[in-house]
Amino acid sequence: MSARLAVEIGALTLPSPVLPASGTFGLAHSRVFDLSRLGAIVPKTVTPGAREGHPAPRLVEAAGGLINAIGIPSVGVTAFIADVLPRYAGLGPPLIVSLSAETVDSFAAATAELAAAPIDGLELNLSCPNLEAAGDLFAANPAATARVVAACRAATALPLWCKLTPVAGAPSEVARAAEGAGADALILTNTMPALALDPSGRPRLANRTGGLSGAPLKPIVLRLVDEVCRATELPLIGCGGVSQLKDALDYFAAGASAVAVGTATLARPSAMARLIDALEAHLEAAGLTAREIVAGGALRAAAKG
Amino acid sequence: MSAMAEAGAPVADLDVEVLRCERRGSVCRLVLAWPNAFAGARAGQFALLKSLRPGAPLLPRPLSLVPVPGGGLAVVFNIAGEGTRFLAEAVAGERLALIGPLGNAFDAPAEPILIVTDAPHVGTMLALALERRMAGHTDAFVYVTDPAAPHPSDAILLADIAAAGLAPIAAAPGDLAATLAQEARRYIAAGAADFVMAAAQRLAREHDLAGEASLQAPMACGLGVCQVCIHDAQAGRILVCEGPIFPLAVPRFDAGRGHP
Ligand SMILES: Cc1cc2nc3c(=O)[nH]c(=O)nc-3n(C[C@H](O)[C@H](O)[C@H](O)COP(=O)(O)OP(=O)(O)OC[C@H]3O[C@@H](n4cnc5c(N)ncnc54)[C@H](O)[C@@H]3O)c2cc1C
Ligand SMILES: Cc1cc2nc3c(=O)[nH]c(=O)nc-3n(C[C@H](O)[C@H](O)[C@H](O)COP(=O)(O)O)c2cc1C
Ligand code: FES
Repeated sequence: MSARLAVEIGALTLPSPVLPASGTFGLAHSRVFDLSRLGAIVPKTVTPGAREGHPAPRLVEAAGGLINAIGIPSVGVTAFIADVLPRYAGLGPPLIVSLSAETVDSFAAATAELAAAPIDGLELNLSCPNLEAAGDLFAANPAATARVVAACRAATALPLWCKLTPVAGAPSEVARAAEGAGADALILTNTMPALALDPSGRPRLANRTGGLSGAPLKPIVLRLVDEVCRATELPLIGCGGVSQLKDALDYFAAGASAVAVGTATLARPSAMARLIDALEAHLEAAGLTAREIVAGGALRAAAKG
Repeated sequence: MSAMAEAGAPVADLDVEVLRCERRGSVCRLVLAWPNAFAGARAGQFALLKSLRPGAPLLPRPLSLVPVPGGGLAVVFNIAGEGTRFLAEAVAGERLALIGPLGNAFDAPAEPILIVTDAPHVGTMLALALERRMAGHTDAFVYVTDPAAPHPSDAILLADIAAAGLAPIAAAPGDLAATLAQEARRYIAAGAADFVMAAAQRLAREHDLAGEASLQAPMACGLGVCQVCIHDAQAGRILVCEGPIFPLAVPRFDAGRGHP
């Protein structure tokens, strides 16, 4: 792996600024490409208890992207630590576990349990319903975001990355709330709530609605990165419609320090490896490092403010 | 064990050249310049294929790998919707995105078996029938077709199967139980609509026969990662791409589904 590609997300050095978006990546991708090239290893979101997830159909193609309602099937945190996590050991890049929960207390308890496991950081999936606030997404609200991040911060010294939603009314306030409560980085964003109907007007997903991802999400998230990077000092990871080199460069220019790739990996499992190749070739041709590109973007973003 | 060894055999993700694209009605047969990774592919295994033309669907489509008598592989598929329509429009020399080989192979015994299928599942079951015939086995091949509402591919597929020397037995849904009972062998390999699969399971139970089920479900990753391809099992759910060939008794089928 070329040192040219390394970037920092808080205290962690990532071997490259390209990492998987949770839920679209797994160990099986080692059958396709060398996982040590990734910026981080991010398994599917785990929840405190076991969950079945939604019935089928769980995914449809729509508007040039995907709408999914998988429903976060999970073996639960305890079984995940015992049975799944050991298989992810020793791959090289930092191992970041994505965690989702329905209350502040269950987020904190699961964080404490995971903190004792051999992992390098936690991604708090805050774009999930908060049962203590009538099912509103945690990250839709600055106060709920602050509460959950503070509770998790109190449970671990591990790096905490917070994954936000594109539908927050005041994204900069949510970002500042996460920062104030001890987050180390922000991932912008999870999917956008969406609906797909068949020709007879019936929902195409069993869950009726789902989350839109892929190309149609990119301009929305790019704008959020552009806004949020002026509101916080935290490193940002752009996540939404990254597929080609141009997408990654756009996110870096808007102020992101890394990008996470989801839908593109489902369309082609080697998508992240191809993107890393393209980025490396681009950096080499320009005589630059990823750190320099990312710093340039951050400087421009600061200047915008 | 390394993560790679634990995860399974290598999977190619390449753009490959179309050597031949033969389309007749709603059936298409594609022969590609298969990369080396596909050399040992067996019946039951599949590839994900995607047209690279502008406007083609985002996700690749799962299609079974069918041996070509005399050597090589093909995919044989029904034009079901946009994804397969784009694939069927490919011309020799065009490049397609190819991911695979994926999935597991059938594990049927050498003795004559009963193969059961219908149009939407024919690729997978034709692969098994041809592979076994090339190995010198003679099996019964039951093809379920509804004379009142035939699948657009039925006539072409039945003619092709007969031309390949597989002597298909066409069974109407109403005659299915009787036909299956008459052709019952020691082992059943079935890939068909739910009501056919439920009948195959019933036959296996009643006659204490072993067998395998070939499953289909819309897929995304094909690698067991995204959890899109769920199918009901007797206990809980299974991921079709972690098969797609399962012991016949494992999946749960809705005996009323797909029945005319
Ligand atoms: C392991 C596996 C092997 C397969 N092998 C063959 C084969 O050899 N030959 C062949 O003709 N077909 C095969 N199929 C089915 C084939 O993948 C689908 O017909 C195809 O994906 C439909 O895509 P489309 O865009 O043309 O149609 P769409 O518009 O996506 O779908 C048309 C209809 O087919 C259903 N469908 C969509 N995807 C699948 C799917 N993956 N499996 C079953 N139904 C689906 C949809 O719900 C819809 O009702 C296989 C499926 C699997 C899972
Ligand atoms: C099939 C699928 C499953 C997903 N599962 C999760 C998940 O478990 N946890 C999570 O935080 N995000 C999940 N996501 C969202 C992605 O991680 C990502 O935030 C989103 O898809 C936007 O990125 P993209 O446009 O590159 O796909 C999922 C997305 C898809 C398409
Ligand atoms: S298609 Fe992704 S898990 Fe089966």
